[in-house]
Amino acid sequence: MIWTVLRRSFLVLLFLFLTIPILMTLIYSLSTAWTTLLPDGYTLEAWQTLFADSRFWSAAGRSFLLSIAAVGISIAFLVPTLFAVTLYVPKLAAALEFLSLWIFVFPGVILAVGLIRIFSNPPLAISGTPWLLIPAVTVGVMPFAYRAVANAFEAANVRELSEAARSLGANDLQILLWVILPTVLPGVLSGGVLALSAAFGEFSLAQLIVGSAWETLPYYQYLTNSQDGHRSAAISFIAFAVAWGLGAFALSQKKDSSALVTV
Amino acid sequence: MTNSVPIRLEQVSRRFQGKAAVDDISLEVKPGELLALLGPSGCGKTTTLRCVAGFEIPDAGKVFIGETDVTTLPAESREVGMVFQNYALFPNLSVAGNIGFGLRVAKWSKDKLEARVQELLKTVGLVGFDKRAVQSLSGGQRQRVALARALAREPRLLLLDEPLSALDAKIRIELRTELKRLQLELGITTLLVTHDQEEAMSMADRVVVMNNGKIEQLGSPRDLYMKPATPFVAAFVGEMNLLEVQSLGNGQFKLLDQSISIASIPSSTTKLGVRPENVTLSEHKTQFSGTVELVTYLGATQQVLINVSNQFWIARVPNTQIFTRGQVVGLEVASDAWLGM
Repeated sequence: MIWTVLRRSFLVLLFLFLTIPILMTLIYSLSTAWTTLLPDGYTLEAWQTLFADSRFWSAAGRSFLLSIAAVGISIAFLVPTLFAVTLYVPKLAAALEFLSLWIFVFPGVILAVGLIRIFSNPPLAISGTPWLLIPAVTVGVMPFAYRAVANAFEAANVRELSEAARSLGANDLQILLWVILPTVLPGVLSGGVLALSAAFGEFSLAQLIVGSAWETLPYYQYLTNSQDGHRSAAISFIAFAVAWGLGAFALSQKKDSSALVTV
Repeated sequence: MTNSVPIRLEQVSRRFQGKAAVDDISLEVKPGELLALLGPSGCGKTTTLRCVAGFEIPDAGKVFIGETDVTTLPAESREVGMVFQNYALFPNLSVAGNIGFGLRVAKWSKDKLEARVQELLKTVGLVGFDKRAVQSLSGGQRQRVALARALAREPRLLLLDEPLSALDAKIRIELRTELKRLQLELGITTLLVTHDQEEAMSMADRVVVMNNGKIEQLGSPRDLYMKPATPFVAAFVGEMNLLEVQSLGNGQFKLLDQSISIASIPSSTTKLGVRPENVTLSEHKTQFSGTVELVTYLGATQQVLINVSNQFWIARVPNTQIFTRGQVVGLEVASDAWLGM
């Protein structure tokens, strides 16, 4: 009895701990001023201004483009690579994962400064453009994408499926495109949501490499914050809502991919 | 199918990290024959099969399919059908998609492919299942899809890797019969890997018993049971009471203070074997006597465990005899039922 009560209270506390900050952010975005315990008044002004600002929409669009491109590229790179490693050099998998984690060693600032120095001069003067930002963020999300792809591979029994396809006469490319890719994709996508949010929220690389030349949502929020905290809070809440939506999508995909595993 | 081909392995060895999984094995599977590789896990039976399939390249020796040396031929060019232990059905494809996969790879026209898939669905008893997702199938149905998929391109050989081990006992026996019937009908040379001696005995024309990467014995199921070549085979194929004996010469052996006379067994023998069904029990004293330890009722028969001077014997007797734990019984073995080990 006492344990049930304790367990429930703990869950309620945890729930409050996780939701109160978000709820407060939402309330703040809807408040006129907040000088006492409760807001003095409520208004939709911050939200209206935000939605009326075309810079907000372009920044959000760029962030979506950036995160989808970065995660798409890293998955497109990782799936064939892990396929080859799983089939031909399984021992290399550990080394590969270590390499993908290497990026964590460098703070974003150092990475950005290094990239800017290298790519500010011909033959590849792409500093200040998304053409440098996208590859940089791609590398940045690699650890997350790696886990997503590796988990999907482990769940799918890639080796046995490949052998079955091979005994039916299929070559490596046919195996990859007709069997492995469609099999692991749901798992990769659900795992990839983490990578997607990491890319979406990427700030330091975006600020240093492109800054206002190609404004992303985190950079736009950073600028907004100095003008109007309420609007900045509204952006935060939108980011949370998008993350929840993606998370719900990921969970629904997870169900599908676990059904595949029991085959 | 009339173009049955033999399989021949010549002194094949395959080592993993210095340890031989398959150790200098030579054997031949005759055209149209079903040969079973039987043995405990880790005995090298699956590795042998994988050498034939092309998933392992032997470190030494040669593999022939028909007259062709396929030792280093890639798996995708070998034209063999294989059924995997867990079926390895493609989860992204429907039943028809799975069965037709090999035909799609071979670029069959749509009409021909569909007709062949229907034909195969009929063969394995899954008509009407073509659009079903493989996840929605039962174990037995998955097994049938895996078999149909393996047979689609009319392969020269059929390789079965523990094809029934993931199934319930009842379906296993059902499918065993069906698989054997189909194999006879198609006349396809088949290599079956199994750890289940009953499966091997009931399906195979000949059985290879393997242990530690080597062949212990190759023979018909009857030969293996009646004339096991080694104590390992005796114990692995069916049940066997193995008893230490002392040879007294001239076909005389001393077993538990009793001397028994078996002219047909050489004097160098140190172990005698007897099948449980060849031990008869009676309530009065006979040649040997012991105490009943355990009676296991099996339906038509019952298995009785008897302590004979601290050696345990197993007897399989009709269910009409009634024995109770602690009862003293007499044991008898006809002299021609003894096997020298």
